[in-house]
Amino acid sequence: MRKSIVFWALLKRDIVLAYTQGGSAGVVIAFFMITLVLYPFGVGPDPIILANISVGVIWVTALLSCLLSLDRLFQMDREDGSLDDVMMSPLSLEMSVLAKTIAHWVATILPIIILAPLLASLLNMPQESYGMLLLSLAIGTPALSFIGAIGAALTLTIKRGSALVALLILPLYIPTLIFGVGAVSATTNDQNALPHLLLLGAVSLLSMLISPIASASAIKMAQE
Amino acid sequence: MATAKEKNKLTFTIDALSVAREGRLIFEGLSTALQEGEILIFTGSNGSGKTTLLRTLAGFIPPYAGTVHFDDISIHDNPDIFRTQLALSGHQNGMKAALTLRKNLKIFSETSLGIRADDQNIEAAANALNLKELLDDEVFYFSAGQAHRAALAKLPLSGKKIWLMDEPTVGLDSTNRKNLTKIMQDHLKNKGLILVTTHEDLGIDGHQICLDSYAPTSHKKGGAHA
Repeated sequence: MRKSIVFWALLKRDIVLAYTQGGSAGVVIAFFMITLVLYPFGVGPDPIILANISVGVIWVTALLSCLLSLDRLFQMDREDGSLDDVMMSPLSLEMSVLAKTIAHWVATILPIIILAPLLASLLNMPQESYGMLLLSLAIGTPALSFIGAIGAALTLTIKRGSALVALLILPLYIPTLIFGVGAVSATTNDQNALPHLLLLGAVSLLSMLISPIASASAIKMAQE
Repeated sequence: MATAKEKNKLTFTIDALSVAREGRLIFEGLSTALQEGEILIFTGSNGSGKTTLLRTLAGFIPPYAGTVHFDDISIHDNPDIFRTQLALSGHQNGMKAALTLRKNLKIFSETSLGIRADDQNIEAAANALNLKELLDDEVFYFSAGQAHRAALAKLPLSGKKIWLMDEPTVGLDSTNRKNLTKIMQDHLKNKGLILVTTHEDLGIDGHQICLDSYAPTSHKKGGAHA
């Protein structure tokens, strides 16, 4: 009972904080939109080229947007001392990390997914792919938050550690990127997207299992 | 195990505790004990390891040697069980600047204790440290002293048995020092245990330990004070 109160309170707190002063959700959403709007200017207005690159561009931008918010995930709590309080709660640190990571996904990634079809239209993505884009993002992006949490926890003691998080985490995002883009491309080319989606889901589930344990032990070391 | 159980008072025991940071010993051979309703005051020069000691007792830092027990529970073997019994008030206040004090205390209660605090408890805790007027202000606007008092208000709110307090008098004016003394005395009366580090007189009688006298023998700092 107490444990579930802690879990839901942490989840709610982090979602609220992401949208208050000092929170990163607004910045991430704005970054995602602005970056995607820049591509037509950079690549040129050729609709065929834009349509071809649209899936990859949206997925890569989603990865980078997620990265932008990661260094704050545990750092803010460490700086103000509330991480100590969380570690002294009846809930295990692994479950607290799970709550915080889910909150990160809901607050910063979910809005990106919802906005994706709108921005896809700017990139002339074929309309029949919108559904698969949403589905692949919904299945694949939890892995971004969970893998990212490990990077955030490992760099917890480093001030301005966001560049290091990028180096640690971006290579681990490659499977998600490949299967996410693969699923949408398969739909566009009238092929079966299911294998891609299944693999995408496998990466998310596996990272959800490993991340709380890995992140919690990194946090314990950082808080010594 | 059996002998300790025979006493009816819960005992907090530190036995031959040595703590090292980055491979360097900070202090060694610290042994002491305290029971319900007792306070232990740690003094010592800067860098003698007061904060490190409290973080070790809170289970964050594994000891280099020695053990710490509360009611037969070894804290470093069972940090998760043990931590639910103690509250730590350190140099950081654990407050979210964007939220009001009331909201912060509510969140503290839920995320650190797993209890939904009612307004009455929150107001009582805030009242004890003269914070009632500030309850609905954002912590962002607090002065350093006010933020520190806000952090101290979490102790009575937590309802936990053991308080670990790291220099609680820092930044407090004389009125609020009296309030601090009062909440500490109340906690002792309610069979609580307090382990506190300080450079100043707290106005409470208790066993005092000077950490300087436990400095590693290789570089002991100019004479023992205790």
